[in-house]
Formats: sequence, structure tokens, C-alpha cells
Amino acid sequence: MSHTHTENLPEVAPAHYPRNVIVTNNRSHAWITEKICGIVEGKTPLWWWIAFLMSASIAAFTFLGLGYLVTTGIGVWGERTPTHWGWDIVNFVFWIGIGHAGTLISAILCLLRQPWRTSINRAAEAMTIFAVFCAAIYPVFHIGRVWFAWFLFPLPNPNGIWPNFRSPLEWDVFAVSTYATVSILFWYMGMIPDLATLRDRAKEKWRQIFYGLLACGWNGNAKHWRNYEMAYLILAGLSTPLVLSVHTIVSFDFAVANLPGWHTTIFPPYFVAGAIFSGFGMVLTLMLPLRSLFKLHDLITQYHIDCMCKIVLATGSMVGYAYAMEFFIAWYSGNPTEGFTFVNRAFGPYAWAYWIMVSCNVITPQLFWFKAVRSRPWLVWIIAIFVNVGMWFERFVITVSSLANDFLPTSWKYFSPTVVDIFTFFGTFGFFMTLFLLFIRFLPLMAMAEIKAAHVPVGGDSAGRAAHGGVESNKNLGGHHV
Amino acid sequence: MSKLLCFTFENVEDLKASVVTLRKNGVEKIEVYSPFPIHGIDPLLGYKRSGIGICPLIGGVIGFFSGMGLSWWTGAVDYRLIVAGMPYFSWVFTFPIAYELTILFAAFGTLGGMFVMNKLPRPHHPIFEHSKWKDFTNDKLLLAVEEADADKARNLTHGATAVEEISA
Repeated sequence: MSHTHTENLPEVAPAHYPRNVIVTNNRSHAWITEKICGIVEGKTPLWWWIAFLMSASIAAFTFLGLGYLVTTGIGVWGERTPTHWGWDIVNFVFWIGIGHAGTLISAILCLLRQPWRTSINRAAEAMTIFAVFCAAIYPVFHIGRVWFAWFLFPLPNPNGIWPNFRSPLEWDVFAVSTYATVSILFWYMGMIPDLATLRDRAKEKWRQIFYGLLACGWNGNAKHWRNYEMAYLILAGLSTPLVLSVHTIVSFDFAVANLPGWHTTIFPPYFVAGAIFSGFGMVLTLMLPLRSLFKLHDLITQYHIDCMCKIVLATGSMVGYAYAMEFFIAWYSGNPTEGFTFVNRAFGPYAWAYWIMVSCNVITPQLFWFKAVRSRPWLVWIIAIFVNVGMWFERFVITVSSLANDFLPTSWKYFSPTVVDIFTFFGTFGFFMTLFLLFIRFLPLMAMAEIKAAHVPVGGDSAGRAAHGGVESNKNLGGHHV
Repeated sequence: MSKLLCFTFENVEDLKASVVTLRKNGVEKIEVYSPFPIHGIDPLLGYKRSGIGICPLIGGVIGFFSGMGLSWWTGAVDYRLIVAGMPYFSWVFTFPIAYELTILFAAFGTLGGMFVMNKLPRPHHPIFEHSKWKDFTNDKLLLAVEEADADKARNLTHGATAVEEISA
């Protein structure tokens, strides 16, 4: 009987499953420190200067575009009746969506105990913050008189008027500003031990002061780690419902309106899946070149790329399912206006955009079923670019096709962006890359302490041998299990 | 002026074993410094689970009621405005605001709580005086005991690769 069996076997050794290696070539902890800190401390590479100057020049397009808008008026953007939400909301949702992969990697994968997150989470979190900055430009400038942007916040003013909390746009203000703030807190807290490492290695005075101030005197005491790890876990637990709520609330901007093609209950999960999809597309777009440039192949391994490709495949399939389900519900609702909207999306004046969206978001990621595709970084990178393009078009299709052909055929009008729209959007990529390049140069690109905790070099005399052998040695000493 | 005796360790097994032996022999004041969290060392050092959870709880409760209160006071008390026949206040439309502020205040509570409980920021700490301190945010582990326990510690630790005395 099973009962007697357990009595005869007081201790059953758990089966040993080989774990995927997250740092290849059995690199020591000192090597990891040297590699990551070396990026910050070494001489600025030539390509960095070239990339920085290019990015900063591209960013100028955004600032010129915005300067022209502020001095001339909101009419310089292509928004005309009936399409009063054009590229600005498209770009806003696009950039906010990009950010979501960062929080997913740092928070949700932390709760799911996926150790592979450790070598990409820092850069992905930085990407989140910079993407949110780019996103914030659009709603702030779309209000027309940007100097009144503070009206969005519940600040006392001489008119005594408060924000309208009944509007989803006001929910968005709270969701996006909370998201930006919490992402920065999470990013900063994760960096404290690594900043202490940089502080202790610093030779120049300015580095000692800069990293010294940021590290706040962190010393790695076991008591500190105990509170720190619990705090990190709690922040991960807080960021998870946050990231799901942010894109849910962004989707409410649309779903709460009574417009065919917008007024659907599928929007929150559909938007969240799309956001994670586009975010991973951007993570791959950024991390694959960095891996080659800094020779990080031992830290971002094929296993990491495989994991990311699989998430892109999964979320891409969810997005594809959502596209199909929208069509089904449009037909099943029996509402002719709703039905027309969807037929019009696929075969109307914006059919070209619709099919770009479907081919980039639904068809291309299906290539990730094949290992031969996943193991070729250049091919993965190209597909990631397709994902970025496809997700921009998704927002364009949702926003513009519903607005341009709404209830009254007499007011229908084909939407075209102006050159100012195009310049402003083009420039945000430069703005984003400028911030990202500064991050690479001055802050630790990877979470060294987390990698060291998750990676155990075998054999060598590095401190890390620990975590595995720990269980064994504790048992021998009659101590506690790990 | 009191002194601290610092032992350098290369791997976690030796450090953990030394901690256990020292504590069995009555050395209670042990400080461990490491460049990464050592999982499973807290019970060996006699540390209880971190009590930091109370900080986000307090923050979250304040955040939730601030959100609800803000919408209620501004919309239903201070300046009543009819918008599309909707009520002046309802928990339903205020919920997203309260939800976001719950998370925001809880996150500030967590980070603030971590700083307060760890007594940070603290610009200088005696342990930074260790001549090889740089290694302990890189790949080495440090175990420090007080002067009174120095002799015991010298005999009972095993696997330490270096010993240094610093003044605390």
C-alpha cells in the first residue's frame, strides 16, 4: 500500500532535472562583473558616438515638429473631421505598448520564477521607461495648449474646476503616470546593488560621487538582502496588476466610446496581449545588436532568444485569435453598422493597412515554430522588426478605420497624415534611442547581482558554487533547507 | 574603539558551514556581506522573515482611500458639475483612479520601507574600511564578528581565505 511505502521510505530523493544554463562557458562571477562594468567604465566606442549623434539628430525632428505645432496650432497635424484622433493616439498606444514587455519581464517572470529574465530585465525596464516618455508626448501636445497640461492633474487652480473623473481619458492620466513612476522605482531599486559594485570599482572622482549617491551606501549585508529581496518581490507583485491595468485602461479610451469597432469587451485582453507582443518585438530589436556589439553571447544565450521567440509566438497567436474573434462577434451581433466596420477594415479604403497588420502580426511570428528560424539571430531580428511595424499598423487600423467611416456616410473622409505628423513620429525613435544609448553608457546594462544569484559556476573557486551545493551542506550540518 | 574581525570566503558552502558552527558555539553577533543574495542563509543567521510587507499595505490603503476621496470631494462636494447625466460620485467610475493610486502609494511604501528598514542612505559604513572591500561587491563573501568573539572565530571558521581586522 502506498501508506506503508512512505513509511519504508522516509526520505525520497527528488528527481534531478537538468536546468537550462543561463550563463554559458561556466563564466565566473568576477567575469560577469568585469563584463558588465567594463561596458560602463571602458572607453566610449566609436559606434556609440556615431549612433548617439544620429539618434540625437533624429530626435530633433520631434522637437522641431512639436515646436511648429505649439507656435502654429493643432491644425498642423492631419486630424480633420471625422478623424479627430489620428497619428497622435496611434503613436501613443504604440509606445505605451512597447513598454509592457519590460514590466512583464521584470515583474511577471519574476513571480513565475524564470531565471532567464535576469540578463534582459534591466535593459527591458529601461526600454519601458523611455517608451513611456515617448508615449507621453502625444496626449500632452494633443491638448493644443500644452502650457495647460497641468489641468490634467487634480491641482487646485483659480477657476476651482477639477478633472472629470468620469472620463476614461482621466483614468489614463493616472494609469500612465503611475506606470511611469512605479517603473522608475522598480528599475532603480533593482539597480542599487549593481550601482554599489560600480561605486566600489570607480576610479574617477565624478564616478565615485555619481554612483556613490545613487547606491545610497548599499553594503550587501545579509540583513539588507533579506528586506531587499522581499521588497523586490512585493514590487513585482504590485507591477503585475499594474501592467495589466495600464493597457486595459488605454483600451477603455476606445472601448468606452460608442463607436463601431471600438465598443467591444474583448479590447482589454486583446490590447494587453498586443502590448506584450510588441514589447518583446522591441526587446529583441534592441538586445540582438547589443549582444553582438558587446559580445554578450555568454549572458544572452540561444536559450534566452528561444524563450523570447516563444513568447512572441504565443502572444502573436493571441492577437491573431482576437482579430478573428472581432470578426465573428461583428457578424454574430447582427448589428449592420458593426458588421460593415469590419468588412470595411479588411476590404475598404484602409485594406492595405489591414493586410500589412495581419501579415506582420499573425503570419510572420508563426515562423518561430521552427527551431531553424529561432536559432538564426539575424532572422529573429528581421521578424522582430515586422512585429514592430505590424503593431503600429494595428493601432492605425483600429483608430483610423473606425473614425473615418463612422455612422454618417456624408461625413466620411479618407485620413492622411501631414509631414509634421510624420516628422514628429520619426523623431521619437531618435529620442528613444538617445535615452537608451545614455543608459548603456552610464548604468549597468544587466542585473549583475541577480545573474550571480541565479548562476552557479561549476568547479571553479568562485563564490557562487553555492546555491546548488547549499542544500547538501545544510543537511549535513543539520541546518535548514534552502 | 571596538574592532571587527573579517573573514573572506570564496564560496557559499564554507560561509554557511562557518555560520552554523559559530552559532552552535555561542557566537551570536555575526554579520555577512555578499555581492548577491545568498538564498537560505537567513535561518542559519537566525533572521526571521522580513517584516517589510506592512509598508506597502499601509501605502496601498492610503492610496485607495485617497483615490476614492479625491474623486468624491472634488466631484460631489467642492465643485458639482453635471456631465452626461452621470452621478457626481460613484465607486464604479472612481475605481480605476483608486486602483492606480493604491499601487502607486504601495510602491512608494515598499521602496521607502526598504530604505528605512535597512537604515539607508548611509554614506559611510565601517565595513568599507576593509582593504579589499571592492571584492565584496564583486565575487567574494565576507563574515564579520566582534572583537570579543575573535579567538573563537579564528578556530571555528573553515574555508576562509583571508582574515583582516578593522576598527568599527
